[in-house]
Amino acid sequence: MKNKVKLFRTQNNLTQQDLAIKVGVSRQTIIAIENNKYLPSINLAFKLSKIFKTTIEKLFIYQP
Amino acid sequence: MNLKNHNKINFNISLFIVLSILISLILKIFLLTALSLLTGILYLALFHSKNKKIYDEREVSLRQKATDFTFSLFIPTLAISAFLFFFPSLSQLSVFSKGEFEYLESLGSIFIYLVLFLIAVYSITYFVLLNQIGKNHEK
Repeated sequence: MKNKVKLFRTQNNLTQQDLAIKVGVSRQTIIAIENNKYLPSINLAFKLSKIFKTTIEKLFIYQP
Repeated sequence: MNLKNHNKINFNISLFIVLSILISLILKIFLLTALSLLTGILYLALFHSKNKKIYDEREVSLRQKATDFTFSLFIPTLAISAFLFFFPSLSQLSVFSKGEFEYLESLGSIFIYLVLFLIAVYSITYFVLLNQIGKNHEK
């Protein structure tokens, strides 16, 4: 699974800390998601897509 | 699990380590003191971080993976050790089944009780969680 969290975050002029506070997780979690080291829950994925005003499909790209 | 429970577990682990150090010092079991100190240092250095003010889903996932690994390592070790402690006693040949080494058989029994207890807890927990999350109802 790939994601465009970093791209959307920079486009929205948000720091990792800002985004972490907005979705209620730690900065380390945002770093892990951006580096594809951690796959977020569906709940967190929805929160991220809501903040970036996009869909989950655009934010997370499924690669079997 | 929330931050409050997380802190409670941290407190209990720290308390256990401190108590084991104190008891081992009172009973003059210095090997246990050294091991307790070493475990305490390891715990403080690797796990107990001041940055963990936010207890989020990644932290839960990490804990679950660490618990899975610990259990998958701990239970077989305990089970194998239990039988290894029993075999010399059953054969009646080994020096370990006599005299001052007789306690090994008791230790083996305790280990088997512990493993059986853990299997029972695992089975019950699995059953309860299965009922909570949902059985595979065939229609």
